Amino acid sequence: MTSTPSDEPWRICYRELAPKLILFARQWVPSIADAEDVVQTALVKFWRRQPDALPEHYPLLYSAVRSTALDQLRGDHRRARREADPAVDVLREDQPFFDPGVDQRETAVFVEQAMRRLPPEQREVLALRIWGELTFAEIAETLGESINTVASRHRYALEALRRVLKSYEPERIRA
Amino acid sequence: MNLNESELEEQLRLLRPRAANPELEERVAAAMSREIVPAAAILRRSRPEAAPFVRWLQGIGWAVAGAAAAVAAIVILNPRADRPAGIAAVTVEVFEPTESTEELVTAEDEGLVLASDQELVRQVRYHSLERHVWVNPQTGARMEFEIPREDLRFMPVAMQ
Repeated sequence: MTSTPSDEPWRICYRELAPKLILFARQWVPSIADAEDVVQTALVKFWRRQPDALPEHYPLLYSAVRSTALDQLRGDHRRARREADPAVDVLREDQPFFDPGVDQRETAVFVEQAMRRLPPEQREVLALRIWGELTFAEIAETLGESINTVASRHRYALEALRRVLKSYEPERIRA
Repeated sequence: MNLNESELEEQLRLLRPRAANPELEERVAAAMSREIVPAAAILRRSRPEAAPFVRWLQGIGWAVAGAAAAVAAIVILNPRADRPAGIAAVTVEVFEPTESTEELVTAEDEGLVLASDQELVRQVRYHSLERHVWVNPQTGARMEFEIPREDLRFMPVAMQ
């Protein structure tokens, strides 16, 4: 059976993961346009190595997104230095991270604000664990860290979120 | 009301990441087709069978070209190495490293092993690909090369 464009393995993978990958990339690069470029490059790299795009290889895709985002960030910093601009401010763009339902808008704003205050290493673990739905073992593999380290970062991130969210009475989260 | 860790996680999961721009899927498709078309074209290309002597000459040609490329790479990448005075130093100075990336290709969990201090650790083998780009800023000439790399990492295991 010939595969049609809509059921190619990468398209199935894309439709399942694109919003999660973009959210993950946005933890590193400053704009949603940059994040989309990162995801595009990472998908092509991943597909070149893993043409079947099997779910067990998805952690490698997150890893490709991370390395591409960091490369792009290094390039941005180099460019900023060359042009004597102020340092590139990661997460400066105001496009929201989430597509909240009607009753989640306020929660989404507070969660996003809380995430932006986290250190990058906690933010990336949180994004992989909560929205990427990876296990701690898979996150450890993606980041090249130990399972204990990523579990600790996740715990610290949740604790920080809990503290921030405690300061208001959202519709869905009462921390 | 206080949520425990897993309840807080569940509540956070209810927030859905912002949907991807609809145009992105087609941009990815276009990028992928740019990747695959030249390779497929090369695979489909049929060549007339060359005479044995011509094949031997082609083999010599490729060997000479490979050796020349290797010598050029060594000279360019190792400018401080001793070399005959006849090789112009100007070649060394025109290329500058502009980009180095490392892409993780596979990670294999090889299970638990005992480290030298009798501590239990998890052995993970990573295969990655280093990609380096050198550019001549005057001419725009670009040299790219890839180096496969294998790393064995030992991660501490928490014993509960």
